[in-house]
Amino acid sequence: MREIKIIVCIKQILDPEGSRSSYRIDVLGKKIIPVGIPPVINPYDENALEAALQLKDNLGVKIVAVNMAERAALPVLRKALSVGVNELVVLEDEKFKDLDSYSTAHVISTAIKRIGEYDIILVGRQAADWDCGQVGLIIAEILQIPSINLAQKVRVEDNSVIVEKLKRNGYEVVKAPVPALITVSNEIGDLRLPSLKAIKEANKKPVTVWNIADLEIDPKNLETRKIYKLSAPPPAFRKCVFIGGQSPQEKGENLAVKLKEEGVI
Amino acid sequence: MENQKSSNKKVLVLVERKREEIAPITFELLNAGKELAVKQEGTLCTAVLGYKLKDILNEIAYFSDETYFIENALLLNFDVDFYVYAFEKLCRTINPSVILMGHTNDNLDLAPRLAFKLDVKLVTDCISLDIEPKNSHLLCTKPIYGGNAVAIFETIKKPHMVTVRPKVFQPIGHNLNKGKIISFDLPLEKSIARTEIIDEFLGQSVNIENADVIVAGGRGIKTIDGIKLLEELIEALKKYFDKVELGGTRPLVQSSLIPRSRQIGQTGEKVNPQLYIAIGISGSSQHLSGVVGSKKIVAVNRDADAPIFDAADYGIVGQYENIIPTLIKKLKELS
Repeated sequence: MREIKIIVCIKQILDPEGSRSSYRIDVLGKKIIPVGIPPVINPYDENALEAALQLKDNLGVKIVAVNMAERAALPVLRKALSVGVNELVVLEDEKFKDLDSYSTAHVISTAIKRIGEYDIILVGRQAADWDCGQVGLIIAEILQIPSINLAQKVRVEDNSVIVEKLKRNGYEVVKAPVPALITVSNEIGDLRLPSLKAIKEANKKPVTVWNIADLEIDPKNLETRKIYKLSAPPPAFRKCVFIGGQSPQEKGENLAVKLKEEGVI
Repeated sequence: MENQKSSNKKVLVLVERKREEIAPITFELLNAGKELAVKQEGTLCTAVLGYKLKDILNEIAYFSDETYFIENALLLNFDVDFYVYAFEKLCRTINPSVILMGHTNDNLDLAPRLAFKLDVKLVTDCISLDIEPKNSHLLCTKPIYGGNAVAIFETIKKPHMVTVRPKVFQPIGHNLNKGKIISFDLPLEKSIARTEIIDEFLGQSVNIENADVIVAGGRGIKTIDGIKLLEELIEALKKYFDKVELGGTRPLVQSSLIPRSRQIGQTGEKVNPQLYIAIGISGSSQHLSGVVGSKKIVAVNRDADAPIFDAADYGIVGQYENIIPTLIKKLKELS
């Protein structure tokens, strides 16, 4: 069987597991300033990487990861190479700063055309920073290929992808001819850990960097997010009454009494 | 002149169906839409796509000035290519100024594609909407960074298109007058579909969004025995409430202790019960974003610094295994 080529789009974001104080909000500059939290690969894009690796476990697969950033965090992105991605393509240009979903999709789809032939494009269902959930499907529209949203399982059969697509209640099995784009949900599983040996070898794998001129994109065609205002979320909105007691057992009883007294139950 | 101007300002709500019924998010969208319609002196309209829609149309017409519908067997189930095709044609014909959709799995599929086709920007998962008074752009408020910040996006080009987070807006009350029902005839060809739905596996039907009380577990619940204890608490609460349901956080779903249909939070269900009891839940902003609408929140967690206590009305610090059994016992005793 021929080799299958998979492109996985990975975004670097601020670690979404940071505490509230890790995100300082610059109201005037309308931006978030990280305090002591590192960039990571978007967790949903890690799920997309895992989906690609699951296919690679059983089939002849070549995986190319694509990242777009104003300044790429290469040490973070190398994680993709260490878990089994063959090649990394970085789209790096200061003009790529704060692009909106459409322009991001425009840049990435231009790069994908330049990469050439492919069978499957995998992207995370959304990025855990702005949570827009649009770039993947727009890439598919620009490339005029079929796309399937919210995958919890992906397999390849002949020249088709067969995807378990999340519904609110259960899932559908959806089939599309390749090339196709699939957005991946966390249900597919967490990204595997690399071996020490693989981490060392990742440094030898090819990394290609393209800027806006390499991609022959006119900066006039790129738009940034239109943010009217950025603010902190409302502060803690409830005053917690702590239920006391001599023992945990007594606290449990006291809670029932309190809920009754205050008419909650 | 004035008439012509206002007729251009249609706020269009995509009606969300749950099988043969109108899903609750629809009435929330209508309330959000009505406010925008009033602000721009426009009309509130609805779009219904599906098959055998008679009952839905007769009901929804009491909530909107104009109801547009497309009826076709290919729209019976949500197959995104047919929905994009049909809804795009409808939007191009009636030319709304705003399009409101629920932030649901299906619309996460539909909305970005539709925005691309209509060449406009979409803002997803909005919790508040307003019209900028000077230029009548739409201001769309959306939590970002897992709820650690709030951004207001400004969309310029019409139709302004947003998806709205469930359980944020109050549902609308109905009109006294029935609005117009307008059929939109559109031939649909099977060849429009670029993907094929070959099978469907429906999970256990869960009615968590309408629950009076939700008992939810988090990472602190590590075993099936923990779940059994939550289920005992649910049974005890049924003495006080009609609809008491089990819920949980994403880690609990990932460890297969509860089905995904019971997941509450950013990528799960949004809920607003009378009482939300969070057990062993630390309170990540991703989870809290799904429960903020709850009337009262009780938290039981062994970590006194857990963020869940900032979001709770009542809290107990301690091991849930020691606390819940006596809570259950006392709930049974009280009358």
